[in-house]
Amino acid sequence: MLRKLTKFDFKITMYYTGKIILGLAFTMVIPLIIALIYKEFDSAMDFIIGILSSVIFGLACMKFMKTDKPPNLFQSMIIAAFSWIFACAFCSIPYYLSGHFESYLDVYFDLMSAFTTTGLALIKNVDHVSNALNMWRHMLTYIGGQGIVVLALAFLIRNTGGAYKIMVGEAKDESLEPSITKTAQNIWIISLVSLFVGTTMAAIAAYYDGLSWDRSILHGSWMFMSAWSTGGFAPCTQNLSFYHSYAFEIIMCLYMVMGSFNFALHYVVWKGNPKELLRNIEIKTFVVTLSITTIFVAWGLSAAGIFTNLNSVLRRGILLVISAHTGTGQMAVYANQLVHSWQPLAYMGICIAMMLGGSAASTAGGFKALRIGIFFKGLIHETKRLILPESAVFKMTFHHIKDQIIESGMVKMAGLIILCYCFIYLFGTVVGVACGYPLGQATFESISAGANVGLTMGVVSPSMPAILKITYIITMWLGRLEFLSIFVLVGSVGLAIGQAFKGGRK
Amino acid sequence: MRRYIAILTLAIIVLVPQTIFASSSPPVYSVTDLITKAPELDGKTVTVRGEAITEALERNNGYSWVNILDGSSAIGVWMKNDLKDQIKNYGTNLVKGDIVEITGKFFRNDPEADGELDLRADSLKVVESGYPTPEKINPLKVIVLAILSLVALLLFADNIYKNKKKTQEKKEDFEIENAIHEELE
Repeated sequence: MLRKLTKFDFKITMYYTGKIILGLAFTMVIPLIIALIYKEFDSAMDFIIGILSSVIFGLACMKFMKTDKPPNLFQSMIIAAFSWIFACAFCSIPYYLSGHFESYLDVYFDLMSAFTTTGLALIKNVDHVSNALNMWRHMLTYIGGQGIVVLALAFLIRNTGGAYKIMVGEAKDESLEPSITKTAQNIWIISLVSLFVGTTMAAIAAYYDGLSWDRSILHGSWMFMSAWSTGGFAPCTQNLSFYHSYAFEIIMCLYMVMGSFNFALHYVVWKGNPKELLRNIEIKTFVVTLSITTIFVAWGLSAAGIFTNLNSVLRRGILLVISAHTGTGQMAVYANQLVHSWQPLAYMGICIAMMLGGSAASTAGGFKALRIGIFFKGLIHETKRLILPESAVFKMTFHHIKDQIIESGMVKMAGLIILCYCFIYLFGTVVGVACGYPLGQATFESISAGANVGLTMGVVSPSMPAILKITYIITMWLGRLEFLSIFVLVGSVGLAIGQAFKGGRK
Repeated sequence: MRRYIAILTLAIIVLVPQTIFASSSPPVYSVTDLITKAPELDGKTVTVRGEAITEALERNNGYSWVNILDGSSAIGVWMKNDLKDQIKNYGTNLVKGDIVEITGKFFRNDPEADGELDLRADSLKVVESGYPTPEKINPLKVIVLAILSLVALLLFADNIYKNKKKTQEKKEDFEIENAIHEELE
């Protein structure tokens, strides 16, 4: 029996969505302050309009849809998916008013790209964007990376009965503490401390390599947010190449890798258990897959004779592999260089790295190391079962924070999600090819969008067909929320339409 | 016949100086051209025209990196500080940067910059001076802002009024409960 969508489901969804939008309204105050400091008065107006619209919506939802009941799992999934749609709509107001976009579709594309920490951008003339809007673009990837629901949980939603379920809907299903509010707050404490340390390090590197002190701090914070949230946005057309700085690139690599790690792992290390880094299944899987893809890329580059010394390979090739594998998308090479100069083996290595992604419950996208680890362990287990005598009894275990037994359901679920990712990669490729792009570029771009990476071979641009923009918006959203909550939302809406249709016929 | 001679003379007058000029100065490329034609242009002297953006990144050895934007793509140019000093305005949201024409050696994978695709400048000419572009407030935005402020204010006022009413009701309930307790005692 399928669950019917009731009026109460709608009411509770709107109530919690209103709270989340209200929380986002407060975050717009930071770019507003930047606008006032740098005398960007028109941008300041954009942000005030954004704040007021979000506050009105949030207050209206909380007033007219008030409820004291906690959401159940079904409602939580819908709240997670629904709040992302509304968050994109309200956060897009300063974007749209800035005049840096050709259409509202482009604005929505950039917003979804920011929230899903993808990093693909359709913004025009990015080198002339105001400091306030740049701050907002990077803040959105940072907030999106930690999870907008997590943000609301940490500071706004006091009713924690169903809160954990909403967080699960947002693909953040690690419980660091018995209290869900405490878990959300811990995720934010880890991120904020890293923001301070990372910004300081990046700012020092940028200042040492020639940027003025105030721009060093701004660019340092933006690029840190971009790396830590594995987003990939940058305030300049050239992305990482703008800085021409080895130290800056090393710092970004460090934070890309750290950002792609599971929040639970950060928390355990934070609590004084660094040995977990050596035992964790996700870290082991990440090291193996990163090594394999690095060999592919290094081999491809040396075969093409493009980079002749170790530093070149490290700064242009390996940095890109790390950026792809962690789902960041920061680049120190040009998109056109990939098309015209790189050997197919090298960019195939990048494609594989993008598909695999970082850790579960992190800001990274893709299959995730935990799933790959569990899936392969399951595969080995099944092979063993066939080889060994039928009477042999053995159990599969893995270490992630604690020793855990792998059940067949876990392997099945991991396989299913990996299959779903493969489907969206394929779907994006088919649409890309249908729009007239070469297969190689269409595949690269589709994987980049679906795995929330943000690397580009030049397909993503304001002139891209609208159908492809919509396709990438959907695949970015599906990839980030890991399918389930969106399937629940689409299923429920379909069911409601079906009910209405049946009612109409009767 | 006379007509043909006239056309031929005109063609010589127009084309010869162009040919001489073309052979004496390197061709002007867009940044996108440099990237897409990188294998064939590698190591050649080329000219790039574009806007100097953000700011120069001055290094300690008398050289700087200046990033040049041609509208769609940007490239890093390594130059001596005396060339860099000719640039007065760098493009930001509040400034239109100087348009410069830079001639130099193009590298597909510059070995001295760890494989970067860049240009090493020999000469620089400011073609067009930049100027400030301060943000102007759109009057339509002011009207929207006023309407939204009014609506938000009404919602806030309603919220405060409802909260006060609730507190008052709670207070009254508490007093009634107290009175009942006292009477019972």
